[in-house]
Amino acid sequence: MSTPVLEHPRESDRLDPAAFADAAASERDVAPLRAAIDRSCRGPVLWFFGSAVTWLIIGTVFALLASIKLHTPTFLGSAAWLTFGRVRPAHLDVVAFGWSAMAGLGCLIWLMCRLCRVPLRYPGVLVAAAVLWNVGVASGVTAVLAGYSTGVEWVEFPTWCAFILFIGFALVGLWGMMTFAGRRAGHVYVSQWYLFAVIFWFPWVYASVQILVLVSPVKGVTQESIHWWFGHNVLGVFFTPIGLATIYYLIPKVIGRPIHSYYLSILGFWSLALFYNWAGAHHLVSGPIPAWLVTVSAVCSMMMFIPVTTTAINHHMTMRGHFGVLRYSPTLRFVVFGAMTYTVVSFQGSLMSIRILNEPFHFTHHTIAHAHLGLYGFYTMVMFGAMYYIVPRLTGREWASSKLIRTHFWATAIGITAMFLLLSVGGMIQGFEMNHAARPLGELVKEKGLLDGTGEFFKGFKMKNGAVPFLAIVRDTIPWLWIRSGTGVLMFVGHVAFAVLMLLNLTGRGPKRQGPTLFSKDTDGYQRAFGSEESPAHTH
Amino acid sequence: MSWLSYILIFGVLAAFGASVVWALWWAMKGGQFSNFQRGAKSIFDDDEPVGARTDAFPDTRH
Amino acid sequence: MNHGPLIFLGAFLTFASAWLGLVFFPNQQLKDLQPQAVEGSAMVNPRPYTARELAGRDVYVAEGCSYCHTQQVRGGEYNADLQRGWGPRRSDPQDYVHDNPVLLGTMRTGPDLVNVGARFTGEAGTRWHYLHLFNPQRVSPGSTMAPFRFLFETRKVVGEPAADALRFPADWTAADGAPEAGHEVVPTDRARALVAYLAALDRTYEIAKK
Repeated sequence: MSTPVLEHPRESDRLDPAAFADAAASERDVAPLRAAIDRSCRGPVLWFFGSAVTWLIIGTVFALLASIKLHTPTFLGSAAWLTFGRVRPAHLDVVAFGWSAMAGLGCLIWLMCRLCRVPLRYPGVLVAAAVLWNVGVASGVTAVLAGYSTGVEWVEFPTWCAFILFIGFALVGLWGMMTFAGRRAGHVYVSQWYLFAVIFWFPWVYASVQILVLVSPVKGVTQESIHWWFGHNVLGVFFTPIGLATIYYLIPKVIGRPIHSYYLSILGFWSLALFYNWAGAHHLVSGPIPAWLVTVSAVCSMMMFIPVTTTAINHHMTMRGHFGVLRYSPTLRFVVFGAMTYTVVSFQGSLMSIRILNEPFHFTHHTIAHAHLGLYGFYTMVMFGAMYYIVPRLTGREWASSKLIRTHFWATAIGITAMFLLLSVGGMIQGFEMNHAARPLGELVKEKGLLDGTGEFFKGFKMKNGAVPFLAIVRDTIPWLWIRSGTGVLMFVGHVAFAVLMLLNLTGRGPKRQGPTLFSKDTDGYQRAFGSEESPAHTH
Repeated sequence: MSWLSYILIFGVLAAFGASVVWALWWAMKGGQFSNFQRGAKSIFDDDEPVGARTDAFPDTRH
Repeated sequence: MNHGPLIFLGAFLTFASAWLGLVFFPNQQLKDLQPQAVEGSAMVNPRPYTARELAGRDVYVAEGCSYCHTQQVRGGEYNADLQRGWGPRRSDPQDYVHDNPVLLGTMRTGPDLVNVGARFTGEAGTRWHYLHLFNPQRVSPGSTMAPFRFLFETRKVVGEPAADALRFPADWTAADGAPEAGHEVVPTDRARALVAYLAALDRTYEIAKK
């Protein structure tokens, strides 16, 4: 065999990308090429992933503080920098721009290299981007805690911090385009469509909101239309596309089966691109903005059923017959959990933009539960799955402990499911009571027969005009907020398990991976799940 | 909003829009919309072929 | 393929349309909105903020009040915003012409505030706000509002007590924050500004038919 055989990916340190320039040669050398690609991604991607996990821990601490303060406001109540109104946006911005963004950019970089089939070039540009991004987030969060928030949700960082983030993102975008221009001949995979949507459109939406709402603000409530066009696009042209790109690559790769209908995936992409952008004003239903705006956003939010259903069918049909692999693959567990949640949360979101369904839940914890289902149940779980797949291939080291992986999975899966379901109930109680000024909820329940209706649980008392007093609403919501804090602690446990695993892997503890691809096949269960054919890794 | 802002914003919007149009044209030219099987299989190769799973819990291997 | 030009147009509109719809057209519709004149006077509704009220709005923003309080009355049959006394009418785009940033808010952990200045008026209203910000749990039992004690200063009385020193009810104890003898609690400038801003939140004027 004339191809170089790599026992440990680390030995490809000085592997010259030019060695793979010959297209014919690369056909024989797929394994070493893939190892070289993974090895070359190591520095930049681990910068992003390591930073992301650090921000995840910090963001979860802020989350716990915010959650506790909602039911126990005097907890650490004298420190100005920890007041709920500062700690809550600090949590949002750290988990959005710290954890979610950096995890996503790390995936984007690795996916781009894998799908272009070239090793990563100009790592310095990406490391600079990661450093800039960390500086931007750290300074932004510090500013928020110090009382210098802009007051615009999702855009709380002072503009100079946002500018630093913008530069960092632009560097990644430019790198992405250059890498694509230098790609090896072959098909462009659907994931790359999603990634390019992110590269081109996120800077546009971010710059728009900065200019039109903060730097040279438009007059009056139009600010809020632009604000929520941006807020929804952080999901629509940043996190969702990266999440979907990752799912479209990892499910087929892990189970060894192509996407069921590639055509559907392209259709899904374009319909998502058309409709997602328009949905922003569903954050402002019944608000003081032109009615046509809300209507159009509600219509397009409902139209989102098309791409979401398309995607759900595609994922399910691809997975059909292979659900057994979930027992053996950490990546697949997290990614499939995320993919299923994507369907659920999108359907819920579409329905909630209809006015009659919006009125009881607007301004309540129900919305918060929905937001967490999307950004955590879908996107974060997919990112976890991606990291479980990617990191060992970069470091050449396997994860140190199956037990910790299982702890991570069950703690976060149960945590987010419980949080979503129970906080939604709390939000529904809050919303129904807020919208029924005429009668206390207990009476309504008895009359409408929604439950067996002793009304005991909903002890309300009548005000002079019969409204459910606001403080009664607060009182009735508190038990659900306590439960939410509990689910938050569970999720925190999962995050700590993951952080420990990452730390162990990055500092060299853990069994070495064998060869450029990974297997041995010594256990019965493994053989049953993975088939008994000779592993390709053993043929060279 | 000043005239300069309008020009800037519409200019960037037009540039991005044009890039989308160009991207679609380029994809069509490259046959991405005519051979979906090729697209779906493009992430597999001889080393990680269709049929081979590529992920497992760490202690299922020795 | 012969459908080229149609696809190209579709692709352009795909991405550009939302920007036009959610950014450009609303701005065209609303950018020339002015406060309405009050007949027979130089006043306008809503009236512009004073410098102190603007400083107060900065405090509102810095302390994240929007994360628990909205500033929009919904109106309509499916909610109880009007029955709760949060305003005589639904909020209108005109109400926000002086607002920057516009603080519509997204959560009602606490009540809506767009007309709080009409509910808590004059000196009595100001004093209620000071006490409530100082110790919300004592003023509104069961409240989960964050205590803003750091917006106040406890100090020794020098000569006469300050004019806006907090007037504590007799049953407040030291644990509630009542100062010991010879001491007083005064609002800092930030607290004064914030309460001035809250007092200015009054959009109960009637919208003139256009």
